Amino acid sequence: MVNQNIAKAPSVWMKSAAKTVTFMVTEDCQLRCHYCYLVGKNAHTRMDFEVARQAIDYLVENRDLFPEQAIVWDFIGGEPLLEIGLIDRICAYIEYKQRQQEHPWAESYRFSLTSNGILYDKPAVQQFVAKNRDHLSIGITIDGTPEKHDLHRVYPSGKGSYADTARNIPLWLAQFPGASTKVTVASDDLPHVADSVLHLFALGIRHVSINVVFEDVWREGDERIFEKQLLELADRIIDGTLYAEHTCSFFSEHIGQPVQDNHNWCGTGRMLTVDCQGHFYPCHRFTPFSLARKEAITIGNCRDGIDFNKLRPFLSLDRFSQSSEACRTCEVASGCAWCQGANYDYADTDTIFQRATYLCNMHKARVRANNYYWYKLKRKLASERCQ
Amino acid sequence: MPMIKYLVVILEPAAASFCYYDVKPVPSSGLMPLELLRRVVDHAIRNGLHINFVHGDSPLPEEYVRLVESADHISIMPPGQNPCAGGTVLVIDDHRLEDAPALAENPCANIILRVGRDRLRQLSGMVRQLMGKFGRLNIILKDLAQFEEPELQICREQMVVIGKRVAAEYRKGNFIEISTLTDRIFLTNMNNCGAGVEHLTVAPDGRYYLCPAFYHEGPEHSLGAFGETPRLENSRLLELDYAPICRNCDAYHCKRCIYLNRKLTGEVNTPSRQQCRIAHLERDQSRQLLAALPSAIDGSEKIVPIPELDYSDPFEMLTRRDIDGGAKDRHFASLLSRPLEAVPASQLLLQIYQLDPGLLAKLKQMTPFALDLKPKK
Ligand code: SF4
Ligand code: SF4
Ligand code: SF4
Repeated sequence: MVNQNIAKAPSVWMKSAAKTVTFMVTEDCQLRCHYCYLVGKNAHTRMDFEVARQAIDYLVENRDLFPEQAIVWDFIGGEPLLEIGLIDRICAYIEYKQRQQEHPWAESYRFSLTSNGILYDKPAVQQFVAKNRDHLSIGITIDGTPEKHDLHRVYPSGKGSYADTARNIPLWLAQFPGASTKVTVASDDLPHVADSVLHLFALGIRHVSINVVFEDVWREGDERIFEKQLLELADRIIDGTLYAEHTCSFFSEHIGQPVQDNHNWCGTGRMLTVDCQGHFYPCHRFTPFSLARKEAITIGNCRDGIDFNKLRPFLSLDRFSQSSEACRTCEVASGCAWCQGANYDYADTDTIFQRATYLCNMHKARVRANNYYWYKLKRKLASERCQ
Repeated sequence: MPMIKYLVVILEPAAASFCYYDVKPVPSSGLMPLELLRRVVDHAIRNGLHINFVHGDSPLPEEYVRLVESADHISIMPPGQNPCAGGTVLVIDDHRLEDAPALAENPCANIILRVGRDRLRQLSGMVRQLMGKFGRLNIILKDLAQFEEPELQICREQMVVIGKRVAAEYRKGNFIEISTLTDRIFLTNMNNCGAGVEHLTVAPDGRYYLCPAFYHEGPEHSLGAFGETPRLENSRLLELDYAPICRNCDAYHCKRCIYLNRKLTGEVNTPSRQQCRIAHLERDQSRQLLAALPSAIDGSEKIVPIPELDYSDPFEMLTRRDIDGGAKDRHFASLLSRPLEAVPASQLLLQIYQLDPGLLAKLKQMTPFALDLKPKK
């Protein structure tokens, strides 16, 4: 449905044309969020500039191996803003190297950071923002209402971090007005879903990208709580005409149909993650500290480059070969997501070709609420047109 | 559980390698315990399984021979052993080719020749030396995992020389088989190794393995004790349907070695570049050989020509960005549908109906067909 009265989520810059290279610059963070993938946080493991330099040289100097027209240089941690000096130095080197090699990326690159926002207003961070404004995106993670946020996003003492993050949201939004935030929902959070999305809208964040976790956390009856929350959210968005300027990724016109294509869901393998030691991974979810049950999958390192044999499974993965019969014939499969890292972690053998489907009931609940949302919204818009 | 058709039974830890793996030096030597062998043979007979026995250099004692002979079997053995009545495949390692003269009287028409990287240049010479002593020659490039462009180039040169020799034999009406050159000519469907799908291995340690290569990797790769149900988790990944690269390939003769897959790419269903490159190089040599022999082969009108490809690894085609998905689908469909293309559609639909009536209904739903009721001019 094309309707000018309904806001659209911002499109991802050069979505299919860009390579994303993620540097994990530190294993340190001020927080100890309960669902954080990085277990074993520590203040001593940080990326050496030399490691980053080698990785950049390898990527920029091997144009035939990396023919993508554009590149996103992404920085995560731990908390990347703890290493803003290092990131600044790495970014300067990237710009120098791209220009020196007359690489097409010199005209088509972006820096991107994902942060907990606590240090966002610090002078070093602000100088970095000012310097790179034209080709920078920063995501700040805020989970919703103070209650929901502080349920999981806590300091080592157990104290919630909402106030320290929320304090910097106005500055961030002033500098990146179209910014969106990513919210993750686990079982405990379900009663807060509707309030949290609306709270983020109220803070001025117009686009909320939100998803339920892929892991085996769901309890009997969670899908009913979830559906109820989404129905309430749908009513409040539609009745309050919030859809005109806001989007929430739970509601999408393209979910809940049988799937016709055979594509993999996520971009693992097309991306590249570099850890503090210079090991390469298909994405950060395959690093040792992101896996609870399985060995990490490395695909090379910054000295020897990529082992392309190790990349072949990731690049040839398709929907069919990893899905069960139930998922292949599922009537509401579109939009039912998966994470390759979680699939691997939970698989019966050491394979990325087995889908974890713990969120099955949650997806079906989402589809029902989504059907309700669009049904109600279309009727409202139609009746407005008639008036 | 897949449909296992035969067992590979390793009679001793140092039994000859007949494939891509190396035999690890083992602390304990000696034969598989007689009692275990008896149970294996009994199991095979009762389950209608054929056995491929893999022998080492030790001659088998009388009671072992009796057991071996009591089952439908093939014996895979190094030269110098007494050929068995069931059928013998000789395994010759390139460094043991000096044993080849002893093959003059070779009654077993079937030879496996394992060639290493350092002797690749002598491959055509070795084949020449073995000419007349085999009806079928299986060539195993035992260091395939380390192959880079120079090795592939040597292989190509050697295959050209061997191809000329094979063509000459075919013109004389001597239809010898050389796996890497002639298998693809006569195949119209995948005919891969089949480890875990068609066969399982029983090792002297009394455990099941996917194939002897996994036995030599260590007991942690075992599928459990013989006598119990083999633990084959995610066994669908051993099947062609669940191998996204191979499913789109017509190098039907390729071994599609799951051991090398696992070792080089981390996944049993994903081939390495080395495996695909060599299989395509062989495919291309087969194509050229076939083109050079328009009428030398009896029934050649039934042989489906092998199309020329502009890639040497299906992964390249699958991941190309300059071709859209639809064009790729059309390419693979036309490649894989040979020789079905020649079968009348009604015949094909009848077969689909007999296999799966639901599929026919689904196909009808998916295929747009609009009645055109306009009067004909
Ligand atoms: S996980 Fe459930 S909802 Fe998702 S595709 Fe599979 S069957 Fe459908
Ligand atoms: S998987 Fe098959 S082809 Fe590979 S080593 Fe084992 S027997 Fe040989
Ligand atoms: S050539 Fe490659 S894709 Fe084709 S069957 Fe062999 S391993 Fe599979």
